[in-house]
Amino acid sequence: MMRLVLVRLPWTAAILLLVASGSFFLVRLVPGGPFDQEKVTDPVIRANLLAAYDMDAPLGVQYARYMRGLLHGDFGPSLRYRDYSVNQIVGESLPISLLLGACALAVALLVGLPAGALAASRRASWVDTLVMGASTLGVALPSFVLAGLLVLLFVFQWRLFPVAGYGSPAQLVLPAIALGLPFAASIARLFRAGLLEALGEDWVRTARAKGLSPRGVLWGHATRVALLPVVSFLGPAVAGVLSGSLVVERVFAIAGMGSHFVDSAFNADYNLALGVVMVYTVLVTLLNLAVDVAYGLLDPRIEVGAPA
Amino acid sequence: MSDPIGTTRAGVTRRLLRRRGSLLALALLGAVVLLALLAPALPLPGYSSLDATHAMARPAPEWRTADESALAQLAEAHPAGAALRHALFGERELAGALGRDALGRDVLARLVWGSRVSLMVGLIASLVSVVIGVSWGLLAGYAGGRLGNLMMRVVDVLYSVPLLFVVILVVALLREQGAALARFDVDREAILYVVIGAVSWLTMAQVVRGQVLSLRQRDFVAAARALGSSGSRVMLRHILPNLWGFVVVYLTLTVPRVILFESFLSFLGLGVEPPGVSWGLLASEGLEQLTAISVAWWLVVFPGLALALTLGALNMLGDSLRDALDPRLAT
Repeated sequence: MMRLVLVRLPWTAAILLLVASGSFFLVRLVPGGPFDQEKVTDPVIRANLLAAYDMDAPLGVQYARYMRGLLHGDFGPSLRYRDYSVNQIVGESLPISLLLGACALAVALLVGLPAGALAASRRASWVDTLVMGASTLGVALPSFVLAGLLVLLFVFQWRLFPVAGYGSPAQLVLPAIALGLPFAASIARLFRAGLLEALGEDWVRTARAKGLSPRGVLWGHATRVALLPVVSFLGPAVAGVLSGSLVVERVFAIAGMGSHFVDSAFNADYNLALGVVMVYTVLVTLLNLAVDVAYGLLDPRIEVGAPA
Repeated sequence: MSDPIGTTRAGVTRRLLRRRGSLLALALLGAVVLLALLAPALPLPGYSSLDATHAMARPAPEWRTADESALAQLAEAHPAGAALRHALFGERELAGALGRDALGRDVLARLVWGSRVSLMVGLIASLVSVVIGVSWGLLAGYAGGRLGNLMMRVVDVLYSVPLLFVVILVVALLREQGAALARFDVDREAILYVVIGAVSWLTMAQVVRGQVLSLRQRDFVAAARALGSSGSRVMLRHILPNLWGFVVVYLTLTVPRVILFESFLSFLGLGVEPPGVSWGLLASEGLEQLTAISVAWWLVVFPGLALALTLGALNMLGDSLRDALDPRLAT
């Protein structure tokens, strides 16, 4: 396991470097900047602004300075929120997005795994048909559509939850469901397929022949193998939850990193946008690594670190 | 050659049609495509015709005489469609069947016209992704060795890049440059479609490469080589034709992804701009109208339903197509 981490670390560093450089040059090369708005800025003020934010140096120098900052964990100042550094903004909004994402993943697992197990254990019954039908629709359901329907039902029709905002647990329920349910649908499908495949294996027949109850076989033996596809789906799921939170945070007016990112893109706040992209990339790569480690623990036959 | 798992066209079609779900999905998609194509000929109010007297009206179908200026506008923009409409329905139109929005615009008309954007992005962006993905995968698979590995490493790296974020950033920055782009006579929507396609080809490249790697071990490739075919001829004439099945399957699965991508961007206000319509834009407008005073459920439910059903049908079709083409993958 240590070997896996060691092998993957330089690879991860290379990806981070590529993403940072790529997005840096992308935003710098696209015409128009944070200080080119409809309102014409006085040339002197503009020059002063560029100097203050260190954007008047040659591109190569800017790049070197930005990279040095990144190595020190410094994303630079926000170009829009005066007196705020990107680190401060990320520091305030990241915990919010992480909590929301964790709740969404919890929803996905707590709904998806039981639903998949139920469908697999009652194969070809109406329960199975119902779960599979619902998951086919659920996989395709965009999170903002789901969010709209949830608000309509649980806020305006039955008045069970507050409409938006952040702070109390009740305010997290609807966003977490809207974000997590589509992934619950995928997890249910994967887990069901994994269980059915495992139940057809020889070692399951052996376990049955030795007198183990069907339930014992399902939970004791098949589950462990069937979890593998679910675990490998968690990597893409985390990435999906994080990008889904772009719209869900907007719908529910949550000041997480997603809302800040969309605003920063609109405002051409380069530093903030780049900072958020970097934080997301780090999160996703680290979680993918964690998923691979978990994969190795679940199935010792797989050697993930081996060169492909 | 024997065909134990029935990968012939007849076998695939038979297995596809055996699934009730895929028939249903096909019917639904056919209806959506037909409505989108016939949008100018349908007896509906203009999708951006304002009607202050009916603002936020609940769904209440009304068969009425159409507004003349709206008809004239339609005749100018879509002469053939307008002529067909006149021949079929005369001056009559169906108004308010799915309610009206805050400006009194007809929700059904907006949904029908919005479907054109969603389908167009599905078509263009997935074609772009197919062209890039198939060429990349084909080259990487056939070149093999160092070059092939390097090409697949590039795909791996791109998988780790939060492409959605990058696209949002680029599109938002380009928005500011609307005037500059107009000078080059570039359509902003067209750029959007191409950009979405340009970031959606990774899975296609991986699948194609895997297929090429297995195909190039087959006897017919060795035979073609022995007969003196050049590398490019083997690729284009012998390997490419054998890839189409897989390409079609992953194309079907790419279409819903790019449609979702567009609606996501439109929802954030980065896609289609008013007075244009798209389903994502309609969904976001609907959510904005949700207030404690008036709960205009029809503005939220119908766009959401249109998106969910279309995407669901496309996914289902893609899944069944994959299972039909390769029963070993069936879940």
